[in-house]
Amino acid sequence: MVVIDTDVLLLAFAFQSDKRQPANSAFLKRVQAADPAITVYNLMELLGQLSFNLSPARLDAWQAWLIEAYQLTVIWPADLDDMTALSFRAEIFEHPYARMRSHRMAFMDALVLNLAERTPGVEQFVTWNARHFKDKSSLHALTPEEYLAQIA
Amino acid sequence: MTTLTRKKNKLTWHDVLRSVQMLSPQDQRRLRDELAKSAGVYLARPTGHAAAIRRGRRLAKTIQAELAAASMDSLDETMTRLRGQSWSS
Repeated sequence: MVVIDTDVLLLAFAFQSDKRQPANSAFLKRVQAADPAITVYNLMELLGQLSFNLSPARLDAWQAWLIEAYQLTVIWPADLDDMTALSFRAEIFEHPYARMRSHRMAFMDALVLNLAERTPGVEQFVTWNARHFKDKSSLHALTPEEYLAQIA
Repeated sequence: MTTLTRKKNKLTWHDVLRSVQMLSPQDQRRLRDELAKSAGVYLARPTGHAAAIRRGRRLAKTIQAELAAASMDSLDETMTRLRGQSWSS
């Protein structure tokens, strides 16, 4: 399973003239054979950003234009429906905070990695900011270009 | 000859709770961290139906066209705003 960071999807939807678009599109096409996934935090970050430019009706259809179009699995903390105060605290505070202290990283980076790393079968994390994640995660961080080169 | 049978002790959650309460606060925190680490995840998978994929891709193209007309910063400026100074592609 390959976890994809928000920037890759944001680039696909909102920055058509960006010079990374060809590699980004090729990656999103090829990765569909490798069980691509995003965390629920990436999903919310993307929807939050696009909410400034999309109508509520368009936003509501995310399951179609995001999940089905790119065949993405969404990773949730397992016990979200009956999360105890302790597991909520660990998910939202203790684990991200420990990562911030040890690796100096933004809250969203820490949330995403915390969830992605404990998902069985996830080995790779693809982002255009891969350099930032090297040596900060047990996952192999690589850019879409590096992913394509690796499977070529 | 007398045969002694020993009843197998079955550990209950209450027994465990009592034991945990005897730990130091530091060990209680360590235990809590370990339990949280082993928490599973829930995977919500796409339907994978051909019709849903076709509809999704059509809608994605429409949205991409709509967003192309909107004025936005660059991806790097947007991500720096979202993730802070560590963003550098």
